[in-house]
Amino acid sequence: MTDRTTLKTDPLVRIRGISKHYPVGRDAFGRPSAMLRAVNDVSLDVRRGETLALVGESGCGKSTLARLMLRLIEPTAGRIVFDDDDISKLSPRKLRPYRARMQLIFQDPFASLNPRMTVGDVLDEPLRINGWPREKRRERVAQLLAMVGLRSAHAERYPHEFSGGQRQRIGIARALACGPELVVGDEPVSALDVSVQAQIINLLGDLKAQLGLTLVMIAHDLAVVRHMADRVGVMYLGELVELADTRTLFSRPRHPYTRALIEAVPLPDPHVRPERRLLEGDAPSPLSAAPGCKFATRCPLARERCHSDTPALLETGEGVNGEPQRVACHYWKEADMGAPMTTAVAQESERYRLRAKLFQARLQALEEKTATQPVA
Amino acid sequence: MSATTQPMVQPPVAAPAMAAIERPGARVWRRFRHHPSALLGGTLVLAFVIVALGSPWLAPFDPAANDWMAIRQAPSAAHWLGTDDVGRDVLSRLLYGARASLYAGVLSVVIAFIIGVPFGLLAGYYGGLVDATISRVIEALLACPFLILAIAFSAFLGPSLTNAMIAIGIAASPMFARLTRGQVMAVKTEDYIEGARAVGASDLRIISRYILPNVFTPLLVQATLTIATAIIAEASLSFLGLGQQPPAPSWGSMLDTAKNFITQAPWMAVSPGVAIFIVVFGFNILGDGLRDALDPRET
Repeated sequence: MTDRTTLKTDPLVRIRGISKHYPVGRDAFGRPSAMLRAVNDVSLDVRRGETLALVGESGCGKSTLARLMLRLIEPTAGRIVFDDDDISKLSPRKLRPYRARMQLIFQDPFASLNPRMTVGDVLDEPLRINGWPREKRRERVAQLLAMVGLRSAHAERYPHEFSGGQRQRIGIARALACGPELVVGDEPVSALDVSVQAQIINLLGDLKAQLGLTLVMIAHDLAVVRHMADRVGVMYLGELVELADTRTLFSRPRHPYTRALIEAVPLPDPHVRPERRLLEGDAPSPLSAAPGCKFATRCPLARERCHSDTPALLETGEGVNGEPQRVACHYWKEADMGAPMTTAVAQESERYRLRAKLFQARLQALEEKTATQPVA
Repeated sequence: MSATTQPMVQPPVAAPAMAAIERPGARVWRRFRHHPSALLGGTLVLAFVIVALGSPWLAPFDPAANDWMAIRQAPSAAHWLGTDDVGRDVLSRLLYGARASLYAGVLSVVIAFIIGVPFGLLAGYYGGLVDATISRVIEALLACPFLILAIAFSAFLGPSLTNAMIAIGIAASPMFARLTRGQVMAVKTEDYIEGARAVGASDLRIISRYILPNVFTPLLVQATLTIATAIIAEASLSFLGLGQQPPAPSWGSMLDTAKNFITQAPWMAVSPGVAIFIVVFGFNILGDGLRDALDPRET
C-alpha cells in the first residue's frame, strides 16, 4: 500500500479537455435557455506522489473540477484517465474498484459525517463496501483512528460528540480507509479554527509521507498552499489560467490574475504599506460564451485581442527543476514583473525552514528508493 | 506531531469531557419527559391502547348483547354510561369500539407509510422524470379532500372495517410521499451522501443507510398526527355505514345510531364523542411533543 505510487513515473491522473456545463432555466419547450460553464475545457496532469493545489476565487470551478476528477459528477465533455484507465465512461459498478483508490476530504466537517452513524460505522462503510472480512474491518477501524490521532474507544461515539477538528480527522480516516492512492481535499481546513488548521495540515503532510499519497488540495488560503503544495494550478471562471511549481508561481507569476491573487494577501506587518493594484470591473457571467480571455474585463493589461482571441495554456519557461510554467495569457511577458510585493516581503520562518529541509530530505530518500527499485 | 520523527500513530487529541455527552436516545427521552403536554399525550395514548387491547376483560357486558328490558336507559350503577336503543351497554361498546379505532388508526397509518414513503424516497432521490411522474400523481391525490378520497376508496372496496382501513391508508399515503420527498431532497445534498457515493455505496445502500434514518424523525411525527386523523376518518366512515359493520361496535357507528335519539338519549352520543375527542387530542399533543423532543437543533 505504501510504495506503489513511487514505482511508476507516469501521471496518476490525466485530465483531458474536461468540461462541466449545467443547464440553467428552461424555455417553454423544456430546453435549457443557457449553460453555466462551471469547468470549461481543462487539461491537467496529477503526478504520482505530488501535492497539487488548485486555487482561485469562489465559484471558479475548483470544487467542480475536483469532483469531476473523482467522477462524483458526470463530465459534459472530456476524459479522465486514472492510472492508465479511462474512468470517464465506466458504469457505477465498474467504477467501484476505482472508488477505493481515490477519495475526497470535505470542507465542512459538520456536514460530511452521517449524524445517525457511529464513528466506527462511518469508517466501516468503505471497508464493507469493498468486501473486507469482518475481523479485518474491526482491526482496520482501530488502526485508522490511531493514524489520525483518535482513540479506538471513539469508534462507539456519534459525530456530534466531536469538535470540528476531530471530525475532520474522522473524515480523513474515512478517506484513507481503503488505502487510496489519490486523496482530494476540498478546502479541508478552511472551516476550522486557525490553530486546528495547522494540526490538520501537518497531519495530512505526515500521512502523505507515510502512505505515499498523491494529494490534490483545493484552497483559498495562499499561505497554506505555499506551505503544502509542490505545484499550483490557478483557476478563473472554470478555466485553468496558470500552472507552475509553487516557488515559481509565488515568485514570478505570469498571469495578471495570479499576480492580483497573490498581491491581495494581507501582510502581517503594520509598517508595510504595499501599493496594491486592486482589480476593477466585474467578472463576466459564467453563463456567457463570449470568445476571448475570461479575465479581460478585469485585467489591467487587456487589449482588443484579449476580447476576441481565447488564450491557450502555453509553456512560457521553466521554473524549479525544469518544471514548465504554463500560462494562458497573450501578454504574459508584460505581466511578469518580478516578485509580487507580498511575496517579496514575506519572511521564511524558522519553522518553515525546518519543514522545508525535512521535505527535501524526504524527497531525496524517496528518489533514492525509486532509483534502487526496478521501474515497473 | 514532532517535525523530526514520523510516528505511524498520532498522539491522541485531547477530547472534551466526553463522558458528559448524552446519546441521542437519552437526550430525546429527557426532553420528552420534561415536556408536559407530550407527557400528557403519551399517557392518554397509552391508556387508549391498554383499554383497546384489554376491552374483553374490562367490559362489564357483551357489547353486542341486546337487552330489551333495558332500552335507552340513562347512566346508572349497572350501566355506567347508560344503554342504547336495543339495550346494549354503552360502556362495553365504547371499550370494544376503542379496538376498532386503534386498528383503524394504527394499521391505516402503517399502510399509508408503506405506500407513501418508498414513492417519496424514489421521487426525492432520483428526481427528474421519476420525480415528475410521482409528484403529479401525489398532487392529483392531494387535490381531493382526504375524507372524500377515503369515502370513495371505501365505497369502491365495499363496507367493512378492513376495507375502511385500507381506504384510509391509501388516502393518507400521498401526504407521506410528499413529506418524504421534501425531506429526501434536503438530505441528499448533504456532504455525507456524497461521501457515501465517493466510497462506492450503491443507491439502495445510500437510501437505506444514509437517507432513510435521516428523514425518519419528521415521518414519525407525521405518523403520530395522522393516526389522529385516521381515527376521525374511521369514525366518519363508520358513521356513514362504510366502516365497522353492526353489531360490532365502533365509535363512529355508535354516533350514527345515537344521532336518531339525540334528544331522548343524549348519553348515547356524548360518550363516543368525548372518547374520540380525548384520543385524537392525545395523539395530536403526543405528535407535537415528539416533534419538539426529536428536533436536534434544540438542547
